[in-house]
Amino acid sequence: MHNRCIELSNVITIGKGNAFGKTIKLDTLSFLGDVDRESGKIIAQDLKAKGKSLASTILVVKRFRGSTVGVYVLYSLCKKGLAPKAILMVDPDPVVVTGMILCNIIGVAKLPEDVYNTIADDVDTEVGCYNGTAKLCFQ
Amino acid sequence: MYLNRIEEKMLSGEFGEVTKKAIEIIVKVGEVFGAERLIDIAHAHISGVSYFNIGDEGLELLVDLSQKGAKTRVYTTANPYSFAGLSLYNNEELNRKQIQITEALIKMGVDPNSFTCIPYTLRKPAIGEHLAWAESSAVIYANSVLGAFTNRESGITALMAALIGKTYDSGMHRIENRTASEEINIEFNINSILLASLLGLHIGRLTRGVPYIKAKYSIEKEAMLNLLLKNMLASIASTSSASMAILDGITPPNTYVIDSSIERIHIDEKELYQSIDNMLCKSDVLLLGCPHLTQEEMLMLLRDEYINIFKKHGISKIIVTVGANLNIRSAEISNIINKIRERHKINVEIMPGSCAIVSNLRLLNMTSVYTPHGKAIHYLYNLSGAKPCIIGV
Repeated sequence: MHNRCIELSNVITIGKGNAFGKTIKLDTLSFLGDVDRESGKIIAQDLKAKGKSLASTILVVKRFRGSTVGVYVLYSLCKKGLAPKAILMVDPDPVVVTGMILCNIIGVAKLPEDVYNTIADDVDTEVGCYNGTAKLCFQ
Repeated sequence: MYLNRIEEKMLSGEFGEVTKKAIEIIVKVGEVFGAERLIDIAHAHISGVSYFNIGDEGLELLVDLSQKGAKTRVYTTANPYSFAGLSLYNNEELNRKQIQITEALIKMGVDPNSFTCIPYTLRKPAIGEHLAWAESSAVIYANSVLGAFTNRESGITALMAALIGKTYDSGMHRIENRTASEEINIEFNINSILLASLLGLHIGRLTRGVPYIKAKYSIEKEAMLNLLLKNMLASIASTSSASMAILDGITPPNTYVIDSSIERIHIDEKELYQSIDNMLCKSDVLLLGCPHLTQEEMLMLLRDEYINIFKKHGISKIIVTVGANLNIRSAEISNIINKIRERHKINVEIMPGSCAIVSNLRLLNMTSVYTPHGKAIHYLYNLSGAKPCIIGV
């Protein structure tokens, strides 16, 4: 049962399909340095989600930051089954987008900021992506 | 996306399986970023070389590509490796895996004399030239100081771009995207690496894209200006995804756009020192070379005026990271290292082709290190396990 759904058209979607998981919402994140490559847990001192695992989540990030090696960390996580199921970002980041394409992770590369603001942290969410349209349903 | 005849052939597999996969990835990423075509590049620079960062999965990916005959189609350089590449660990497997990574890259065509985060010292890009560089500190330097055009590629897209000699035409390759997002006025003279670094880390946290920076730099010689710029830019790129800053009086004309109506921000020196309390620690080791130092920069920082500062801090070892092409056995360098050891009781260890922040320093018994470099301050603890202690240099 969904309490609320948002339909987005004319957005930049990555991949096709549906994913279900709990949201982790962050202002910023770098896969290198902020995430432990072995456990998939957030280790950045300055992020409130420190200690949370990214595995099977719907990761919602305003702006990714930092290293271009982050793509390998994301690739390692998906090979180990520890990657997020979907990634939604406000500012499209080539490092993260490449990792998503390699790993077949679906998501939205340019989420409108007002939509980002309405998404809550730690909520069961279903994401559907198909050729420029996305549907986000929250429980 | 429009593809020309050659590109269509690459995509259909006529140039082999590896080329097909490489162009597929570039086209897909390009489509996400609204590119309408691919463009030729003059130089690719690959990141993701340390075994500590890319792990067994990354190693397998690179070895697999090299075994399938992957070959670069343009001049290609790579980032530094971890200290395992110099066999510094008492762990043969670790050292061997690091060396396997560099061997796979060299087999694919990476310049064996590169392994540096300052690839512009090996081949200086021309103004307006298109590149596909990963390594955030080199990308921001190329766009902001050299006037070259490159996106902040991921380690993997930079490699794929090297394999096809092309990248997607969007982002920083297009002049309209090289537009200032805000004007930042610096109210003080930038006169040290540490100050340039703290400023860069701060600017990275507040910029919305391409900061236009108006600042004065106190310098006695040209090499110091370059060091200050390199450290400020590398720091901006650590706390943001910025791939360019417009530096007043430095960024080549006609490579950027400034609209008159942008927001103006003033930065006071005091703001930079608000969050440094946990970095006021002590160590007997100093790390220099993040980004890598050129020989001239290294010799400048090993002069007596700096060595005296290091001595006052109780430093007994200086680790200097430089590119793989630097001849550390030259008479000039040996003489200086010997002089510092005899006169000041400080050991200088030069580590060619390698990088401390992508190495596990705890395994080498370093729990804290002094450094003036903002990029190292930002990454050291989470990547290497050593606590950064700031030093005013």
